Amino acid sequence: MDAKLYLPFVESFFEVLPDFGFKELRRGKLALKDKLVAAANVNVLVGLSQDLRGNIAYSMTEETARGVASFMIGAASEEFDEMAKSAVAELANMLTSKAAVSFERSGLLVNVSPPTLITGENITLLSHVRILAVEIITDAGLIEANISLEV
Amino acid sequence: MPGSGSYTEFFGAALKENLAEMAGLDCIVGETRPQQETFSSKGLAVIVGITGKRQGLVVLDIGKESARRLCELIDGESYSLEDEFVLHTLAEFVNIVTGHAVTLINDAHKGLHLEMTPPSLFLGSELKITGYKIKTEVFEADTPVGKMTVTIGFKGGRSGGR
Repeated sequence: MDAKLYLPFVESFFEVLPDFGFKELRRGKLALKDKLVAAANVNVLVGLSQDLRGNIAYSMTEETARGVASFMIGAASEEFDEMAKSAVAELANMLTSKAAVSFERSGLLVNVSPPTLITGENITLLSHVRILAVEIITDAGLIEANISLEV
Repeated sequence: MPGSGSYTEFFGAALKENLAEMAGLDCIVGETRPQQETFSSKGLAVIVGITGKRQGLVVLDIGKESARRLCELIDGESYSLEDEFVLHTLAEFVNIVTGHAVTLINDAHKGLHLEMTPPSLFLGSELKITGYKIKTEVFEADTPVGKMTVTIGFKGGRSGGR
């Protein structure tokens, strides 16, 4: 596994989240998982194509998602309503796009697909390749970036 | 052969052809209609992103029992509802159908250069799916193993290129 290909997705958190007022930000556990993983209730999927193909599923509890949305919107999100959902999806888009810019600087052209929000109960995610799960601990709670790359 | 309509009809054609070739199944493709921004899943949703000159997404949604029966026909094996092979086969089936549709679209609309991301599959209860910044359309496919729905959306709307 080439760590250089995974690092931009982690660095994005530390570059993007402070702009929205996040102060506590640290990396938690790293785990190489099988292709089938249990996911939290709120997931945003963003796909990658061209020089680097794969998917990133940003996974969090609804409580964390409401907290993330509160930072993004700048006001408390009591409910996980449409505005909060849109804010969380936009954050996933920004994080992945930031990583894509970083790849471009090193000569890899990476296209990013629009974010898709998946919510529900007892969610399992299947990827076509193994998943590197990276925990990011924030003021709003834990966000798990499930990164699957065709490398 | 799809002609002048929105991109969605290419997905209907690709689904019909691949169901016949891979599973020996006939399929009646229903009318295309606008999809709600947030829609409920039957239980299994395979999502493929689209990039290129137009960005979008494709979601094939199917119930677990229909997925099991479809994958048994594709693989020629007997599967239980819990069998992981069902999930892998379904994801690959959607990958092939989307790839076929994208090729048809790129052939019909030179310069569009659509590409696709690898498939991801979500399984769960009370699944709800929302595509952001895109307008989606949906059609239902009626097959002998059950119904499946295909949602297609592109940024800018209409799921079409004109």
